[in-house]
Amino acid sequence: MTSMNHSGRQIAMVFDLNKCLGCQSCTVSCKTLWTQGEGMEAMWWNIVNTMPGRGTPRDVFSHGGGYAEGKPVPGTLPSLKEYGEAWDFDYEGAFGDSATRKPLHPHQADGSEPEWGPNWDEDQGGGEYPNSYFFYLQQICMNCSKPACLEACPRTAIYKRVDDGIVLVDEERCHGYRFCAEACPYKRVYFNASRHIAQKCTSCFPRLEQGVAPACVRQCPGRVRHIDYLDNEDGHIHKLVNKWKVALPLRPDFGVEPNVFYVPPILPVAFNEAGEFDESLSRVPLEYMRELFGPGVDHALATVAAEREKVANGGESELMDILISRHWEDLLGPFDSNPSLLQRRPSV
Amino acid sequence: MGEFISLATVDLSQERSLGPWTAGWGSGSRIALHPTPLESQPSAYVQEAWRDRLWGRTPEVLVHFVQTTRLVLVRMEWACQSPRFRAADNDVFADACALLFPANGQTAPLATMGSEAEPVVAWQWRAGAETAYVADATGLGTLSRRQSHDLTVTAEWRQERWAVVFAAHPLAENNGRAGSPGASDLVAFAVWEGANQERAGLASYSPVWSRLRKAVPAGGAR
Repeated sequence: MTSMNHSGRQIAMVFDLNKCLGCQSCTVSCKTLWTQGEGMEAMWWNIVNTMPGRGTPRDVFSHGGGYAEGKPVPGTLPSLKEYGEAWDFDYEGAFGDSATRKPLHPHQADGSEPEWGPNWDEDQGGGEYPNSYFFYLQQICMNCSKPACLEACPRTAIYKRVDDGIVLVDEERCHGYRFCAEACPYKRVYFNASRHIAQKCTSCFPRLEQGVAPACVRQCPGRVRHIDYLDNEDGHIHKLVNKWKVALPLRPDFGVEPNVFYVPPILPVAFNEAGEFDESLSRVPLEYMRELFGPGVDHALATVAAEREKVANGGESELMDILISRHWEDLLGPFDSNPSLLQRRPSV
Repeated sequence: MGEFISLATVDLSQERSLGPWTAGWGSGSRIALHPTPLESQPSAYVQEAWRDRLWGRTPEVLVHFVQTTRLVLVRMEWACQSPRFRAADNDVFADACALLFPANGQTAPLATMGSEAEPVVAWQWRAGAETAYVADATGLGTLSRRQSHDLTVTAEWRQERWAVVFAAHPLAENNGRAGSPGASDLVAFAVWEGANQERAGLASYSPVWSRLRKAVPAGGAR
């Protein structure tokens, strides 16, 4: 257990936004493994949102939190409806008597129509046809180096592990005050009203301790997610973040120094007014990319473009090899153990 | 030292009928409450987020103490126009109250919620929670709930006021080394207004210990 002054190793992840299919396999694998319990119905510790979009919870980056000029920024607590309730469905009405059968339709706990939910604005994206665009953005706990959630808790119920930098909630100490949820600028801390405690992504630490990658990483069919220790100079993370500098923090202006990094989407070429591709125009505004990923995005995009060009011309590129990841186990770093082969104690 | 609080003694049959709003509690003592100090909040985030907000708006709590051969009963009553009966949503906070007493039955620093040498014991109630809590503290932010205790609590909101009744065996070790605020002379109080998002160290509280004093038997109490 440690405080903000984390001096140990740091596990980090890189998500390649160019490869995400938006299939939510990561989301479902997390849901299945971790958030089936009481009070967790509406929790999505992992969520994938279409961008540009309002995110999960609604207007995800507008709720404050994080730091500005070294000071904590007050945040708000999005309501359950802003996150999206766990919907229910009238299965009997959909599969019952054919004369009265109704299409399967979601409703909220009070019977009303949903007005918002996780990834509500799926595939809407931005831009004007024919220059419309979107990409998918995955979000989990960022295991920040300056975790605002940890600093906000008056009970020291949140801690950052020395051995791997994972940020965890001590559910025995937590009294459900929710300052952590206010302070997290990514809004990745949930409130369990049944147990009156805060809960969030654990980075699947019990799996990591057995050498197994987190469920969201291992279940991703798009080979989007890389995991390793940030200081492993031979690993993907170090090379993508520190050597090639093509993996960037999300909203670095939040000041929390997140340890999940993103390879920004390659910007698609836009049509000009004549309806022809114009190599000088991008459908995605570069300013939007800078807002999401900071000033390093220009260098990152240029580097990826240059390395792609090199490979297209018959050359070789370490960067492209990492991003393509022809062998999916290479994504897993030291966490490549097969969970089905683990020796497990029988449950008691 | 703050106000004196009368400690009445009642017979067993009357004890059984003492609910949050039943008659027979006597006149009680009015304890003035004040906002907890911002500078004592153990989190820089809380200090920054609440710098320009108001909290601790409950001006007083009416307190009754009665003791029987079997139980000590503490009733707290205060005004609450917008009750929050449970934490029904991420941004909803339940009303709550607590009383605090020195664990050694003698003394403890109140401003810091006890110390390593002189811990305090808290009895807590939160609207919507299934049970009362008994917790120990050795300083701000150190409150630790006990897994077992015999403290029970009943509460009811009526006519824009909460009334909460704690009941416990006075000498039960698992409620505090002093057993209860009945076995300790000193006691302090806190109220959290859920509608104002008050929680943790953001509350209305009595900043000095009140002292319990045996009441002269009157009416039904003896």
